[in-house]
Amino acid sequence: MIHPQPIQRRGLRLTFGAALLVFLLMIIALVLIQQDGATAAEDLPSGEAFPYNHQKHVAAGVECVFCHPGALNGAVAGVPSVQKCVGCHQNIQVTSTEGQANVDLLMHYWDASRPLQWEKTYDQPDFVYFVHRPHIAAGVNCENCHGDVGQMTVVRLAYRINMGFCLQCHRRQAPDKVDRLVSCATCHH
Amino acid sequence: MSKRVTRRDFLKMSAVTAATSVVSGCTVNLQRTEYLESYVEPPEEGLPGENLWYASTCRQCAAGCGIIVRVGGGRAHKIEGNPLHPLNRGKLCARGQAALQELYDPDRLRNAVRQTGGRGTQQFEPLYWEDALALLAGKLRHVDPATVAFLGGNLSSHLWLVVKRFMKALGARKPEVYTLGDELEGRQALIRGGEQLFGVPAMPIFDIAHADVVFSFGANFLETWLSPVYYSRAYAQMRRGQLGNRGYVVQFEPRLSSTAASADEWVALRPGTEGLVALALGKIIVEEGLGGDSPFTALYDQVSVAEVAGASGVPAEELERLARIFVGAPGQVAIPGGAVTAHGHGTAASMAVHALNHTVAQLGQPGGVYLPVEADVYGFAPPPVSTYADVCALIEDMAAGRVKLLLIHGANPLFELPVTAGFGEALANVPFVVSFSPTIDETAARADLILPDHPNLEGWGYHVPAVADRLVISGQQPVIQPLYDTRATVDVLLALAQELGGDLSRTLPWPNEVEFLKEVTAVWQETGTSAESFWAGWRRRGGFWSESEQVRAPSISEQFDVPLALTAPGSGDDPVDYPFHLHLYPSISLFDGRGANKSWLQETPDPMTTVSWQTWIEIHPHTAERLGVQDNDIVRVISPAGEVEAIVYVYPGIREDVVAMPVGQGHEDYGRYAQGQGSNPVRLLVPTADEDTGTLPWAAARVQITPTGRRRSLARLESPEGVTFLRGPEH
Repeated sequence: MIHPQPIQRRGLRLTFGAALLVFLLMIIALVLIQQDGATAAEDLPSGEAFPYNHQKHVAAGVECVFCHPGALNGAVAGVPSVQKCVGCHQNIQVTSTEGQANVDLLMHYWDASRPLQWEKTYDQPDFVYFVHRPHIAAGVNCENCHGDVGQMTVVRLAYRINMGFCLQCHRRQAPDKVDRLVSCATCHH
Repeated sequence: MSKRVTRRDFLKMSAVTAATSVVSGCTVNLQRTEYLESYVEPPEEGLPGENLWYASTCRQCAAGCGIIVRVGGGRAHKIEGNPLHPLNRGKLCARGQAALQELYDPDRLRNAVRQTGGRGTQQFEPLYWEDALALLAGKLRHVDPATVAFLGGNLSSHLWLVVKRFMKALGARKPEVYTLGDELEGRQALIRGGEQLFGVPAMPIFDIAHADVVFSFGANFLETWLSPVYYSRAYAQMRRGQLGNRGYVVQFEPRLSSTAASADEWVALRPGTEGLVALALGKIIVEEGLGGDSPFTALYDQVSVAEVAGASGVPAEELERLARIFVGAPGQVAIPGGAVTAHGHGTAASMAVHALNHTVAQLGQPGGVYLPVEADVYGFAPPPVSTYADVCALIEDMAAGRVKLLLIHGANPLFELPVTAGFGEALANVPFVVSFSPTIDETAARADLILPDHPNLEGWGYHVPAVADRLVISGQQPVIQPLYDTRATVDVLLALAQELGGDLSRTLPWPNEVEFLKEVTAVWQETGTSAESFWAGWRRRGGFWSESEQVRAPSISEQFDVPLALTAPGSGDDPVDYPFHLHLYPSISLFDGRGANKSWLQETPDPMTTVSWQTWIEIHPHTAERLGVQDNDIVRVISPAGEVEAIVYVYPGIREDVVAMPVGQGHEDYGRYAQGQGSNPVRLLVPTADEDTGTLPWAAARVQITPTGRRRSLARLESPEGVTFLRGPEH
């Protein structure tokens, strides 16, 4: 058996090395660029979404559907408009300095007529056609899928809402409904 | 490197690197983050993800079809015809569909502006509306009212009402309303003809839906003429065959249009002989007693069929045959298109065509000619149209310095009029020019102050359609909140009226457009309904109309009793120097140029040539051969008034002595999609108004063609493969 000969000539080694290095750097750069989805959006305030605290608002007595009426009536739940936030916050007082700083930031957006940015925590792929209304009509609580949002200071994913998650509930429904609920076309029409 | 790299190691490293890059490609999608944006102010009605439909009126031409617009998330997504609307019953033409692009035009003005750098510099400075209105009010206060002029174009009926009252109360010059589109369709001439013959200054309605035979003299009713959706529906009804009759359509025009292509026969008569042919047909019918007994036969005393055959190029036997077809079925109608009155002797020619209807006793009969009922309530009529002669008088006044303040709305005379008409030069003698255009077109580019009106989809109003077989008042409402800081011209005029006081504020007492509309339209409120429910119903339905047909029969005029003489059209300008008749026609997508800033319309191929985005000249194959030009050659088209360049389209559907060009391209401003495309053949027209009708005699134009040696491929959908007449020397 002939042992493989190492590449002896120094010039060739350097060239190969340089080419490999460049190639590796390119790969790393591409991976980094693609991971940063933030470059697709405009107007992000230093890469952060608005610092909204659900826990404080729920403690104050705000219902889910007050800010997300689309869950009850529309196709998508949506996020509240700046006008909705300002509606209360132009009048009420906030009791902490950090809270006041956030309200000031909100009023800055309102005065500048700029929309707020929110990172989408609960997102389904485009081929899933989810509508809130039948779930609410069936008596499903918001917490069932979204977790105890009333305790969250920053929204986090309580459950991984994939098809298995949906089906484990859909399968447990009344027998006359199950056929429709596990049918592909119901959610993937 | 300290370690020696063997070939095996190198291959291993490459493989691992390649694998890593592939895997990193797989993981990227799972790590993607999406962002949501809140509305700053959400749309008033509708929830996220939900679509609402609003009823309004299309304002892309004077037809006034009803539309419904699908709005989701505060954005207008799609326009369709309003199924309830009696004019179009849910159908809509391409121009109506493309009106979305007027709303989302990237080159729209977003504020009131002053052209601070001087006219034509395109240096605009935005103004607050309070300042803009104060500026204009100041000008109006200090100028002699008799020197204030208004030039309108595509006005809606409600705006016309306000403008008319405003100018009258101010003591200003009579407002003029004129567009190139109206001129090419012969709108003013038709209304004038109706007044002269039937005593009613209204557009006659041609009942194609119930006709068995239609003889159209150049009326391109399937493409653009007057109210194409209405007439197309009527045509479809005719073709559906009542009791087995599919109808028979003969199109008399020098160039094959879509209407001619759909017709059963196309008669390519010489331009300017439409009236003569109509007279000859009538003569044959009367002489041979084909139409039963006609009471007034003196009309045709001086007509010689042989002479007409010679002048028109339609052989006498053909005229005989066509006359027999015309009387072959009981419901016939002859329709005068725009070209009939666009030569000299337009009045007589138009009368000749109407006389044909009279000879077969079809005035006021099914399948014949009707007149609309008059809305017996003041203010509900289509805006009147001025003649070209009226506009020339305005230009003369401007040039002589008798106009100190000019207001322009919906008209683009610097594009629509022949350059040699002198509007541009006359404008220099007008100290202050105000435009209400939402975009910077050629005329707005020479204005001092632009107060952009809302585009149609953002505005309120009503419009009475140009052609309607019943009372129709088509309503208009905003489908979204105005995108930018534009303001309705009616609101501007009402604010000025309040500001200036006196007679003005008495005749225009309303604080804003909506109050004006609510009060004025309340006259149609049925007894027993509340004002709120009427106004809500008005917006929900898209206006107010009669559910049943309402028409009048035209009264027989004594003018039909007098011999009518028409001379054959002269050769006009030297036939040797200018050997070809020029046939201009409005583009089905761009119309008279107003659609050129919408890319959807630019992209829409012409139905006969399939060309888009460019200006072409249609030349008969034999003529092209004689001239030594082929498809895609660039030629100079020269007339006594000017010249343009166009690309040759060899077209068999045209007379050999005629060349045809579509109108609509050749803009120098008007947005990124309109600028620099094609050429404007209106430059070729001699700008003298016809003495008889006051029209711009666009059908009498004559040109010569000179090759330039350059070529440019036309953007066509069709392929010329296999078309024999195009096979020339390889290029």
